[in-house]
Formats: sequence, C-alpha cells, structure tokens
Amino acid sequence: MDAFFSKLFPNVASNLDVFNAAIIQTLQMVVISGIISFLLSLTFGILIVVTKGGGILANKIVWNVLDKIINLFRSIPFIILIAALIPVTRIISGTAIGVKGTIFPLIIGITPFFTRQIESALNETDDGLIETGEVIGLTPWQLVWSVYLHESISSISRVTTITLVSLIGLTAIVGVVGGGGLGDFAIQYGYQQNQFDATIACIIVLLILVSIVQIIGTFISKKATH
Amino acid sequence: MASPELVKFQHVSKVFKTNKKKSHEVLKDVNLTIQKGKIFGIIGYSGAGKSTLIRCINGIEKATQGKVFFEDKEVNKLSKKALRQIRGQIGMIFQQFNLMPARTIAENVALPIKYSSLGKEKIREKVMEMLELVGLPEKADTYPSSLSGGQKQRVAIARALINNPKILLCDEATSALDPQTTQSILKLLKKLNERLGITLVLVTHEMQVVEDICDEIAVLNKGKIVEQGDVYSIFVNPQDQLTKRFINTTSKLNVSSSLLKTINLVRNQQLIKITYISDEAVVPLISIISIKFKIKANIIVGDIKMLRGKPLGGLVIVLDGEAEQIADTLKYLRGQKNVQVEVYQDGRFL
Repeated sequence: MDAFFSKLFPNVASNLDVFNAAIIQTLQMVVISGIISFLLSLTFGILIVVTKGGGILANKIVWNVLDKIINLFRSIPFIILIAALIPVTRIISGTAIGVKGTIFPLIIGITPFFTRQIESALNETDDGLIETGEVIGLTPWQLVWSVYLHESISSISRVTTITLVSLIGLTAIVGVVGGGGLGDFAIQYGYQQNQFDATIACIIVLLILVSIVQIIGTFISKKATH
Repeated sequence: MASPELVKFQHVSKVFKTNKKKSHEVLKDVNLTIQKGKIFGIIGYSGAGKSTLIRCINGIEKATQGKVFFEDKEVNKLSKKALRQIRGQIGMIFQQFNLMPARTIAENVALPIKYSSLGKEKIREKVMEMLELVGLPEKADTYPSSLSGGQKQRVAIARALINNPKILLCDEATSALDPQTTQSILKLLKKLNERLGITLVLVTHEMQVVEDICDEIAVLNKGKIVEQGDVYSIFVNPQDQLTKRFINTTSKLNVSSSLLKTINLVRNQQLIKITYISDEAVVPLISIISIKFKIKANIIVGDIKMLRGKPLGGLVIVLDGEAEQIADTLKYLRGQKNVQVEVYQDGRFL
C-alpha cells in the first residue's frame, strides 16, 4: 500500500508530514470559521427577515443598515478582502498569517453570503404559518424559534451545505496568502515546484471533504422533512 | 350580568396604502354586533374585505378608523402584550389550515400552550382531549403531510380550541374542501357551538355554508355591509341585489328563460311563482286552490326546504282554467300571509 502510494504520489509521500498538517489546517479553518459564521449568519439572517417591511419586528433602519453592509462585503472579491482586512486581522487575531490569521477574513468573507442564504431559507416559511403564530399569541421571539427556525431546519441545513462547500473553496484561496492548508500545499508544491501529483492529491482530499459535507447536509435535510 | 355582546364594530374603516399616492379602502364604515353563542356568517365575493374584517377582531389587522370591541376591551387600543393575551380567547382557523409541517399533530395542537406554565403531561392530556373532540386521537404522533384536507382542518380546529376560546374565527375554513368534507366540518363546528357554547364567526363566499349553520349573517360588498340580520329573514326577504344573487346560488327556483320558452302557454294558462316569506303554518295551497277554484295547477319547478325549522323556497306553477278562476285563485293566494305571489308577464315574474 505504502509502495503503491509512493509510486502514484512520490512528491506527496516525501512530504507526507507537511501534507497531513495541511489537511489538519484546512479542517481547522473550515470548522472554526464555519461554526462562528453559522452563528453570525443565523443571527443576521433572522434580523433581516424579521425587520423587513411587513416583518414581525419591521424596522427600516436596522434592515437598511444590514442590507447595505451585506451588499458591500459581498461585492468585494475575497482575495482583495483578505488584503484589505490585514490591519484589522492583526488587531483581532494578533497575526495575519497561519490558521490563526485566516479565521477572521474567512468569517468576514463567508458571512454575508451565508446570511443571504439563511435569509432565503427563512423566507421560504409560509406567511400563513407566521400569521398563525401571531394568531395563537406567540411573542416575536417565540415565533422566530418555534415557527421560522423550526420550520426551516431542512432549508437551513441545505443552505449550510452550499455555504460550507464555498467556505472550503475560500480556505484554499486564503492559503495562498500565507494561511496554510491544502490550497497552500497545492500552490507551493504542485504549482511552484511543478509537482503535479501534489495538486491531484489536494483535489482528492478536497473532493472527499466536500462529499462528506454534502452527505451529512442531505441527511439532515431529509431527516427534517416530514 | 355580562353583556351578551361579544364583538362589536363601530364605524370601522380600514385603508391599505399601496404606495405614497394610492390607497385602497377595504372596509367602509362597518357596524356590526356579534352576540355570544351565535353562529355569525359574513358573506361576500373575494376582495370584499371579509378576511380583513375578521382579522380586526383579533387585532391582526388594525382598523384605520372606528372601534372594534371584544367584550369590553377595545382591540385597537390594547398593548402588544394584552393583545397576545386576548388572542388566547380568540381561536382562528384558515382556508389553508396552516399546520406546521415539521411538527407532529400533537405538537401542532400543543403550540398555543407550549409556552404556558402547564407541565408536559398536562399539555399532552389537553392535546388528547382536543383530538378526541375533533375525532382524530389516533393521528397524534403523525405529521400533517399524511392527513387529508378535512383531517387537517380538524387538527386546526383542535389547535384553535386548546385555550378554551370564547370565539372561533373561521376564515374560508371550508373553501378548500370538497362538498362532503365541508358538510362534516360544518357539522363539527355546529356541534362545538352547541356543546361548548362557543361563538363562531364564519367568513365565506358560499351561501350554502351560511344556509347550513349560521344564525345571523352580514353581506359584505366592496367593504360595505349591505345587509345584515337573521338568516331566515334575509333568505325569505333579501333587499340588496348582491344578497339576492347569493341566495339564488342555493335556490333552484330560478327558472331559466330557456326552460320557460319550452313551456308553451296557451290561452287560459298563467305561470306564477309562489315563495314562502314567513314561517306561519304551511297549508296545502295546491290542493286548496284546485278544490276551491276547480283550477288545474301544474308544478313546473319546486324547491322547498326547511331552514332552522321554517319553510323556505317555493313553487313555479302553471294555473290552467278560465280567466275568472285564475283571477280568484290569485286573489286567494295573495291573501295568504306566508307566501308571496309573482305572476309571469312579458318574460319575467312581477
């Protein structure tokens, strides 16, 4: 098996420690920034849905501010965003490189997109169900919890899957500017040193990672649909 | 003693602003009173403002002008918190049932008391009691997607009743159901009204629903109440054109002109229409006139039914006899207090 691997991926086999570390780094980036941006996006998504015109806590100012900020950040290409954020990243994370330095830009990069995804998932909730919640005397936050969120579990898990796949893509980009992870490995060994097998190995690991995310997401989504 | 009035509208208007310049008046100076324990029907075409009207009762819609009272509380003036409390006493069901798809039947029924101080066991007990009431206890742990339309509406009724409300608002509750299921839901509503004494407000565009269970009725046309009163008097003596049109949908007495053309009236024959207009004792009119005036009476169309135990409907008949006999017969019929007689002339009944 080892011999077979060494033959197929000679340059990966000779740098196996670096490759394994890269996988761990990618996982760290995805998991940490994924969890934090999920919580943020859920909060912003809920806020934007309840504060929109005709929403259960309609508030023009809050809605407008959120809407504009999301649009602003979504319009900046991620690679430029990373560079632009460096001073802030240094203040928040203490460094702008390594896994530690990537979390902040990843969160800022993915949250606006994630928020829009959550917003559209929550907006799928039938207006009649919201009205019913009001009719039976639920408070706005009970309505958010028991109707909006409870009825959107399936949609939320679907959009979270989409977002996590995008996030994996972003972790590869952030690697280029000193973040580490599989993106960094593929560029350093595969691209700059022309070791094509290193690139292929990265693709295979990322493909497996994406598949696992997709399978789990689909499973939860199905489980929550009655 | 508490007032028997449960809901009262005083000069209620509602204006929706579509944009800065345009606005749409959905309700215009609506006045109505709904008595405790009654089944009150609100009928009108779609867009007449029925749904807005019924939503003013639980404050989902706020009147732009005028006052809406629930018991002695003015709904428009309640705080958000007070409004939520009052909604516990006002159940509501909808055309599309609005069950939460991701919750089991029992969880759906429990939703209004989920955040109350009741313990889980007590909640379950109440839920089962409600499901027994609507006849679906065995469905408690299934999901709404496995139910038929009628069953979904039963669950919605159970959910609306779990807080023991004083009133149940039904917004086109049977409009998405087939006629047979409609009947069974109406029967259930009637049973709830009789057994629990709950007041019902039914919004509908189907006159049949009104005829089947309502005690009182208000006819809504373009946001205005054009007629209201007890069902029988409205049915026998509708004043407004729209009311007449609605009543005609449940009556077979409207002889179409094509049918009339097929009746070749010869000399000494007269087509007349007799309609019941009061509930005084029904006498065998046809037998009496044929014996008394020796006239032949040929029934063309007959549609007589009992509405709340009182006769409703009438007959279209051809009188056959000498002119004098016909005149005497008409005179006799016109002297009867409980019927109205119309004579066919120049292509219509006068």
